[in-house]
Amino acid sequence: MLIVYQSCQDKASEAGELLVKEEWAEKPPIEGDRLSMGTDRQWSIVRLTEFKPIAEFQVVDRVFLAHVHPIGVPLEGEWSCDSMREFAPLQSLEVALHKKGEPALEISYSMEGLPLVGQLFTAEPTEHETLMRPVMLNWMVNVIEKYVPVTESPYTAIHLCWCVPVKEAIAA
Amino acid sequence: MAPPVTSGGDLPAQPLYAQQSDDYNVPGVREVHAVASLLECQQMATQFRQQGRRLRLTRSKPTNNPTLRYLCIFEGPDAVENYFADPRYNNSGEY
Repeated sequence: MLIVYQSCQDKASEAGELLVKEEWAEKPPIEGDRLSMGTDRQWSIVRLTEFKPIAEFQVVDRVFLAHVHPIGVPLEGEWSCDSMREFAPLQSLEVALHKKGEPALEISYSMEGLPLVGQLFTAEPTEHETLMRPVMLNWMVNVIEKYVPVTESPYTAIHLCWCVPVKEAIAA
Repeated sequence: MAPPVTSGGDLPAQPLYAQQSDDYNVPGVREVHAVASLLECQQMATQFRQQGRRLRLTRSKPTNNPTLRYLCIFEGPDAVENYFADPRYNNSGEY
């Protein structure tokens, strides 16, 4: 199964820590499980939401969204995902993957609940402090599998977007 | 009578999203901005709307950059390349 760890509040993340990350696992996580988001600081799972496949024979049987927060830091104020949900009620979470068990190529959010399509890109810093330059990646979405929440969730769906190298996609 | 179109006319063989590209910014289709927080994506969307720009926020993506933590992807007919490259619009305190 796939677990997506997302920071409850972006402001809780410090330098070197990710806002969101994924992990493949054999057994479901539980609230209170500890983890790192990129530094020595310990985080724990404060809320878990299970997402189930909408069809049979999807590559991944279960997906969990685990909201995490640093241990010892008060969790006060609105969560980032809930704030965004008020702005974009259909928002969904997109995970671009190449192969089961391998690290994700990217994790992003769709404001309209639509899956990721087309060629992936990243962005690199420029000399200007407020500008980043998009850089195209050699991956293109080929197959999309949808998962819907079993219980209340800030996201209407999680889409696993399976990618292939661009050259393969064009040849097909 | 016009001759029948046999090759799909001047339409590309694949939809735009399926075509290979060298740049994610495509004038008239989409533009990308980097911001410090998700809230700034919303604020930018609101400001574009107030300016009358036909753009909607379709996607946001966390980066590994400690300062510019998100990319905001806007789509719509008024998308341009390097909108904020113009120094008049490139004040980091604007959002």
